[in-house]
Amino acid sequence: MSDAILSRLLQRKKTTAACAAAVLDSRHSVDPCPEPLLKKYIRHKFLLEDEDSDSGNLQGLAKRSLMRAAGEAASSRYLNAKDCTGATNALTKIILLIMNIEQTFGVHFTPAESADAETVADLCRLVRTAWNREETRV
Amino acid sequence: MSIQKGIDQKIKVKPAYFQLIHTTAYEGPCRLGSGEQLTPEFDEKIGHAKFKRFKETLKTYSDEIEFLEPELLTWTDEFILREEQFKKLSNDVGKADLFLFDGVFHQFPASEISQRFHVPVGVIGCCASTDGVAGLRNAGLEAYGFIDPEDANRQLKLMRTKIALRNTRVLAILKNDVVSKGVLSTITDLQQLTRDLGIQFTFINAEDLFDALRAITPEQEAAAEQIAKDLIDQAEYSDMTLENIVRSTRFYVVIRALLEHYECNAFTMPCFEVCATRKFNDEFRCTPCLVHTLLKEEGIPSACESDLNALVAMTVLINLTRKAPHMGNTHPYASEIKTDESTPSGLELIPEIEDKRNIVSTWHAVQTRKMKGIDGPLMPYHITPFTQAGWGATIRYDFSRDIGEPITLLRFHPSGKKMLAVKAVIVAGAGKDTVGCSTGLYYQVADSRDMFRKMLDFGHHYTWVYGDYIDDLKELGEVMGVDVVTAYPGEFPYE
Repeated sequence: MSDAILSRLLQRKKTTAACAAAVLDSRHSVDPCPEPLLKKYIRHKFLLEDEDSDSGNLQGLAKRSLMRAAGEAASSRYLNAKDCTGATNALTKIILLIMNIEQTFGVHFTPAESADAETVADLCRLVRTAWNREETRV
Repeated sequence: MSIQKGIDQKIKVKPAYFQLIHTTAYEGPCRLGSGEQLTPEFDEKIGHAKFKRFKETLKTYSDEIEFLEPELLTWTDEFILREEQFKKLSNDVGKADLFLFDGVFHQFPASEISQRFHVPVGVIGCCASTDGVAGLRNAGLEAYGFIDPEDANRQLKLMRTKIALRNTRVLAILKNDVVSKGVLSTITDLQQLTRDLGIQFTFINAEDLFDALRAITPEQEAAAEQIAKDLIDQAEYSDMTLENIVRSTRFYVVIRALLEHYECNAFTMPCFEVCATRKFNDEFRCTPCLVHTLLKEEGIPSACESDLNALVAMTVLINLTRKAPHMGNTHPYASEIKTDESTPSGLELIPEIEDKRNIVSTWHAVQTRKMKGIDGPLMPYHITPFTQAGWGATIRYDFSRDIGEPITLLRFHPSGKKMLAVKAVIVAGAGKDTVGCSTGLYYQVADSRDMFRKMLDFGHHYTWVYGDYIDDLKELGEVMGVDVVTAYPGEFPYE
C-alpha cells in the first residue's frame, strides 16, 4: 500500500472516530443522534468521497461504497451478487454497518429492527429509541 | 348464492424463509467470512433482512396465489429443526395447498416439514430445490422444485389449475345412460376420475331439467329477455327473432339456477338423448348450444354431448388461460388430394385448404365471444339458429379473421389419465353462416396422420384456445400426474 493511501486511510479513521465521538456527545442534547452527523459517520465508514451521492438510503450508500472498493467499473451484477447464504454484497455491508453502530454507540437493535432500517434516518431513530430504552431502565 | 367458479379459485400458499444460525464464529468447508460476519448475531440480523426481502418478492407473485402469513424459521448448525419452529407452521396445515420454502441450505428443514405434516411443499433455488425434492419424491411425498422466485410464480399458477380441478363439481344431465351414444370414448370410471383429479359429479334426470324449464319464475323470465336483447344489441347482425333467442337464454338462466342450487361449477348434457325426447322440438324450442357458449364466457366449463374428456380438457384450458374455449368434432384430411368424399359431413371443401397438407377441422356451434380472454372485450359475432325452423340460438364467429394464429387443442383420454395436446395454426373459418353444428375452422398441424393415429386412442371432440400452451400443458401434466401426449414432432413444417 502506498504511503499516500495509507495516510488517507489513517486520516479517514480519525475523522470517523471524531464523527462517532460527536454522535455520542449528542446523546444528552436536545437533538440526540442528529441525522447529518450519523450520515457523516456512515459516509466516512463507507469510505465515500464528497462527490458521492448525499442519499440517506442505506442500499444506495452501501452500493456506492462497494463501487469505491471495487472500482468505478463495478457492475450491478457485482453489487447484487449473492454469497452462498443468499445475501448480496450490499446487504452484508449494511448488516455489518448496523452491527458496528450498535458496538460504537453502545446500543442493541433486535434482528427485526435491523432488517427494517432502510435509511440513515431509520438508524437515527433506532439509536435514539435504544438510548431512551436504556435510560428508562436505569 | 353464487357459483364458485374454478377461475376464481386461488391457490393458498404458506411461505416460509429458513435461516441457518451458526452457533459460533468459525470458517471451514461449509462457510467462509471474517470477523463479525461469522457471528450468530450477524446470521440473525441478515436472516431477518433476507426474510424481509423474501416477503417483498412475494408481492410480485400473481394475484391467483393467496399467501398466508409468511414465517421466518431458524435452525442451527446442530442440524435439528426444533419443535418451536414446527409450531410456527402447524396452524396452517389443512389451510394451505402448498408450503413454499426459500432460504439458506433449506432442503433439510423443508424435508422435515414435509415428513412431519405430509403437506405438499415447494422449494425455491439452488441447490435445495433439486436435492430436497428428489429426496422427498423418492420417499413418496409430494414436492415441487422451483428454479427461482419467477419460476415458482409460474408453476404456482399452474398448480392453481390443479386446485381448480379439485374443486370442480359437474352438473350432468342424465338420460338413459351415463355414456351418450355419440361419445363412446367418454371417461366412464368417474370414481377413479374423482380419486385422480378430485372432480365430482351431481347427476339429475332430464325430466327434472324439463320441470325446471316449465317452472321458470318471472325474475328468470325477465333476466332471459334482457340477456337476449343484449345479445342482439352487441351482435353484428342476428338471423333470429328476439322470441326465439329468449327461448335459448331461458334455458341458460335455468341451467345457471340449477348450477347454483346443486353447488356445481361445470355442466354437460347428452344432446342426442335429450333431443330424442322431442321436448326441445315440441315444447321448449331451444338447443343447449347457447348455454354452453354463455357459461364458458363466464369461465364455467360446459361441454357438448356429456363428453367428460372434453369437459375436463376445457376445465384445464379455462383455468390455465382464462380464455373461453370452443370445442367440436375434429377430423383430419387424409392426403394431399382432397375430395368432397374426404370432407367431413356438413363441411365444405374450400379453396383455402385445397393445396395445403396436414389440414384438420373442428366444428360445433358453441363458439364463444371470449375466446381471446374472459376478461377482455367481446369478439365480433352474429346470431344464427341451429335449426332450419329458426330456433336454437347459436353464436357465430368468423375464424377467417384469425388466419395464421396459433391454437392449442386438448382432449383427455378415456382413462382420464392422459391428455392429447395439439398445436396448430388457423387456415380458414368454416360454416359461419350455416345452420346446425358445422361451424368452426380449418387448421394446419405438423402431421395430420400422426394426430389421427393418436385420436384413435383419445376420441373425436377437441376443445381449443388461441395461443401455444403446449409447454404449459406439459408442465401442468407433471403437476397433475397426467401424461401429456403431443401430436407434433417439434417445429412446424408450415407451408
